[in-house]
Amino acid sequence: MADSHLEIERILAGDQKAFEAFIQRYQRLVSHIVFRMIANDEDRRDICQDVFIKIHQNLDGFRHESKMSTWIGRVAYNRCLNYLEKKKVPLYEDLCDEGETVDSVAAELQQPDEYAEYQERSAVLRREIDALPLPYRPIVTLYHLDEMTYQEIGDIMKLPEGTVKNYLFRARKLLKKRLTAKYQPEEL
Amino acid sequence: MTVKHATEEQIQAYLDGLVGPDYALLSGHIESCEQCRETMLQYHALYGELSDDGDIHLPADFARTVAAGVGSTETTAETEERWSLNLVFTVLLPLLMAAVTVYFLGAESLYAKVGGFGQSMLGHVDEMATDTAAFLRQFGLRPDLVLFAVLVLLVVSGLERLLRTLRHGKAMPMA
Repeated sequence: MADSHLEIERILAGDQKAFEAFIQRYQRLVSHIVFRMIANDEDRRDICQDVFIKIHQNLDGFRHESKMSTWIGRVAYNRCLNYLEKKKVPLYEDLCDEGETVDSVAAELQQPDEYAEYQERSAVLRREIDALPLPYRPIVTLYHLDEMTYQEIGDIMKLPEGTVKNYLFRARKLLKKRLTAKYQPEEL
Repeated sequence: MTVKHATEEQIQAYLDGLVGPDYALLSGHIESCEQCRETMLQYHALYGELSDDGDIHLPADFARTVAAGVGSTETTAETEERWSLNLVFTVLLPLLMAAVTVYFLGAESLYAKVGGFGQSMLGHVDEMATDTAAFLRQFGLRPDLVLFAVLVLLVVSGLERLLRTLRHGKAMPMA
């Protein structure tokens, strides 16, 4: 905690190297949220940059009442929501119809060797994740990639723990269903 | 707990390590039941895929670029807001200038100098200026002083915005 206070003081005093190290530590978390919620590649990078500028502007107001990662996650999540509201993207729409899979990607990527098959499967999965209702996507990412607890995810997204757990179960069930419709069980 | 076939929620909870006291019972069932084991393996494979962030990457110099420019960089939202306000100023200022000109010089003296469309526009501006002046007088305010104060405010805040624009420039581009 003392280190964290010291680091913030250094950043606020204008220490560029300290802020660079700070960004390096949290850019993975921010990019996980932003890349899962925003489809446009150019906008993703701008939004990641916005998030860190916003964090820098508000760092003096951070009271250490929550974990730094939770606060940063919340800034990133809110920035994405703000972007999506401006673009009028529906938050709860499932972009893939029941029982369908994103076959077009697989068709484009069909190659014989094993690595290509792995890449194809990953690409299909990414497209399936991108087709999930919006609130499911950061939950899956924060849980599996950032190893956050239901409570931490709930703090970021302002959702009750039970809802986070429920959305996570539903998201994985949907993904499994869509992927098993596409692949044989042993291919998964 | 009696287990016929484990539900998908139970299997997910099993893989998440959230089963608690029923873990041994559920684990034993999954080991012995081919159908539940298959479902578990499918989820296990999915969990593996979900833990791969191979498609998510920022440029290698992201941290350095952002840290270097953060003091003089504004967010894209701030840039949008600034340009929207600049647009308002661009529209408001000429309108007010026109209103002031008409108010101080009088519409009649200007009518003689402009053609048909200009006369029609001046007529509207004159009407607006007269209405606004009457409205202000209702509250005991002198229209010329109010207009002067508004103009000073606009010029000062316009200059402040211009300085900010020159200082910030466009939001920092990302390579």
